Amino acid sequence: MPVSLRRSLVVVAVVSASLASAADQAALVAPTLKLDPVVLQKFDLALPRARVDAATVFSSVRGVVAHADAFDAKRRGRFFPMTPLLRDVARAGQGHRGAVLAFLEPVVHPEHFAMPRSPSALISLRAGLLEASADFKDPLAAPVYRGIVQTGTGYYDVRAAAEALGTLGLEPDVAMLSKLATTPGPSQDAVISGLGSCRRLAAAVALTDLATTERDVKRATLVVGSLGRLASAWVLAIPHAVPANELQPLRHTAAVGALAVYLSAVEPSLRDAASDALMTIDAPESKALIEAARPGATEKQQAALDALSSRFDRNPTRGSR
Amino acid sequence: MNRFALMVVGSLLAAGCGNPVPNFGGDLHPVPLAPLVVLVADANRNGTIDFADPTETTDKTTWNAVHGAIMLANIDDDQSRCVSKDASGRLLPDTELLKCNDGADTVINGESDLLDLAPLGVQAWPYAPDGMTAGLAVDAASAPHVHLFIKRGGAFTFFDWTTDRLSTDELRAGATLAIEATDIVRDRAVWDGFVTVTLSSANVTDAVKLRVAPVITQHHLATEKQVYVSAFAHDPGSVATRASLKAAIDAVKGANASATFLTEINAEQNIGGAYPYEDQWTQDYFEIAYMSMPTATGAHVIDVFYRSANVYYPGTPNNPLRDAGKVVFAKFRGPDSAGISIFDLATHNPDSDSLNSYGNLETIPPFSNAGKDYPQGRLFRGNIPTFGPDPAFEKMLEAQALQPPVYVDTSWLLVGHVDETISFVKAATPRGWVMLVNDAALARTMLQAQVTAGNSAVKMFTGEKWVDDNNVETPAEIAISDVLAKTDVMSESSTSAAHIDSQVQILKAETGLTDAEIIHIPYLHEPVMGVSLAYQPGTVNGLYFADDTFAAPDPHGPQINGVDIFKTQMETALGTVGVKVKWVEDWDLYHRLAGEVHCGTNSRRNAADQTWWTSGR
Repeated sequence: MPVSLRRSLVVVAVVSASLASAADQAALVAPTLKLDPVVLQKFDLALPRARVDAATVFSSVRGVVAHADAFDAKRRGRFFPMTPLLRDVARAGQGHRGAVLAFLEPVVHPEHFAMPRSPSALISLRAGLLEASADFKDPLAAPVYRGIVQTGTGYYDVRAAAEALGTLGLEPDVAMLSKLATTPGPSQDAVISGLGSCRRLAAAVALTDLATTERDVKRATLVVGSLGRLASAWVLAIPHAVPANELQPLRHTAAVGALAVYLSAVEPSLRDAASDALMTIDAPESKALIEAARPGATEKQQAALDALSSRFDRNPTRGSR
Repeated sequence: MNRFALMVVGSLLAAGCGNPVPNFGGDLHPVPLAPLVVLVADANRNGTIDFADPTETTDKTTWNAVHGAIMLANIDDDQSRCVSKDASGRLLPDTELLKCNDGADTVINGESDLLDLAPLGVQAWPYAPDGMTAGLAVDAASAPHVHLFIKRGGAFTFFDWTTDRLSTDELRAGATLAIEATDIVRDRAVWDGFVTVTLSSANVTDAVKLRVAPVITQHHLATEKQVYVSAFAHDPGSVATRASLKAAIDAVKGANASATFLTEINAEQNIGGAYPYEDQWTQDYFEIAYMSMPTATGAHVIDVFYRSANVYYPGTPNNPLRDAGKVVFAKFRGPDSAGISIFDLATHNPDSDSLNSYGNLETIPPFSNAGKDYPQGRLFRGNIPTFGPDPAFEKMLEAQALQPPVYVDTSWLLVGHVDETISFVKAATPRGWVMLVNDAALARTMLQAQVTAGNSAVKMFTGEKWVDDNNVETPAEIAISDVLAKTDVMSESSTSAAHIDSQVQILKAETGLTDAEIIHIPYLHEPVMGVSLAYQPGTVNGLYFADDTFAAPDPHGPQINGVDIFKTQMETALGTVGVKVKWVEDWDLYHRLAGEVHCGTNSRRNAADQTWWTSGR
């Protein structure tokens, strides 16, 4: 084994507040994915050709899988960050037809590989494969993502698959994700987190609906975090990042949702998270929204609105220095 | 109690009452009537016991900024007698490694060990009656954590206050005592480290109060004495990092200065059969703090090496910790060098275990704010209720009381360490230092400016690779315009900008820092598994190894007219406070594995000039 790989450490860990506890570790280690037979058949039919067209990508992915345990062996936290290196494998594989399947094969057919034995290696590998695969924005992968989201094979799998599906932004999928995000269930938090990459109005509406009703601090923190990422002013400035006709309503909806959490939050960390999301969204109408919220606001909320207004005046995301 | 009374008596002191010899000259002599029961500690902090000095002998149970004796937790290993391996040569398990130190036994382990003890003295009571003895006692809370020794026959011997007493002769001649703590303060609710020793004789008592020296972490303004880095002899990434680090040190401190200033920890050596270090995160698995007490020749310092509470093997209760941390006991524990390991498996949270690494334990340099002085600075950690480090270790840190922690939210970071976003350097300002802060917005602005200037196709990360030495090596270089078009990088960077601002607001409120005292350092972030990681080398995350030099990771930014714009920005920004930047190559072994120069190094700083006891905390 190459020296530097043997030693490569890593990281992670962190996972936002909502992530599952150690007690859930066993559940987090994804079981065998049970795809719809038709989906599986199509996937299997596409594989041989893809292996030829994107041979180097398949080879690279296989190499990462083979070294996953070594990467993980001396990680800095719970997980090795597989995503960055897999993303660059994906970047190198752009333009190779079917290359996305190289990233999904270890998830769909782990029996084809010497998969890592350590649970943390397996989790980070699968999440990394799914996150990297999203960079292809290849609808070919959508059925696999749907299968993961709908069958719920573990928090990180579902979060990454929801994120990938959200990135694709197909309307039926956005509707499905929005419903899962607002429906109590084992995948709810993972889908909420993944929705931050779904830059469609329907996703913003779903998250904002949740923002106005959710009372669980951890989940509400996830909601505002996703609202911030979804409507990040920096992302919305990228051409075609959002359908043109949805850009303004999406941003407005996200700002309204984050402000609702900001006003209703009792827990300081949640209010901070909401404030951070509002800064990230940086909607032009933010000051107007703040003023509109003043009537009926309590004294404490007025003070909070003052603080928020002041923070907008020096919004740290504007980069005006 | 200093209760002296004089009584005029004839010269009829009974034979056997000892000196002075009775004088039958007919004169009347003053002879103490009341017992002379006087216990003295080094309350005036000059390193000696001064029976005749009122600054020593009054207010002996008062402890404040200017008065009160100090003792050390004698937990070093002055004779290097502690073993770290079993008979078969394997390293002892974690719970065994930490048991041995000089305070664990009841003997003085050599002359050097005696220097770790604080002096106590019993004043001579020349007229102590025959058969008079005295007892010593320690307050109940301190009793389990303190040893007393008495000098008898020219040597110090353990004084078991539950059974032992000062003899009549010892009372008459006076006694020399010494005291050690056997542990640091871990939980002030259990023991606050203030020790009251009471001398009792003839129904008279006298007491002194001492304080066990707190363990203090070092801030960046303290002079660097030693830099540590893990060394993988044949790893190109390690070779590159160490070479540029040596070059930086030699350039600043003189030719070949790195030979002594830089300690390379052989990360490939096997420390006992089963535990090769194999851990390049030198910052993370140990932290060098210190404790000290005044002596006649200056502060006596014991370096304290904290072992990180990273739990890698929760299913092995006697040996659960990160392997490389064993170095604290296997290599560093020794004369005037102590090892500490505190963790609680029962409350361990694997989700936030990374926060136990010492990249998440920094020290804000000294300051005053809102009428409060922090002459040793304050601890700075990522820690929120839902995402924090080991509670037992945290409680211990807080129990030291000198550097009340400032906590910020790092849960949004993949690694979760405060050194990923913030650092401190000396500055010729009224405060004496400034804060370096990661500013993703500035990074974006700088890149956008290059697009405007027609440089959108210029590449950054040129020549770097994401993974090497297997078949997944991929070039890292990417055009400026492509970076700005990455939705994941832009999304994560914008949220990071907001999160970091929240950290900054907390620090400003706690320290009184102004915007003018903050230096913005640009780099972007990327998302991994829903949390954030430095996309560009995190240039804040460097090593401040000399007053005028900060060793930062080479940013490998876009070269415009032959100049790296990120290097120029940082050199210019730090130049305003008189700090130069030396660039260290850390891409392969550190950056792409989620760390930077600071994560891969460690520092031992001078503590001999620190007088923490004057802080009043």
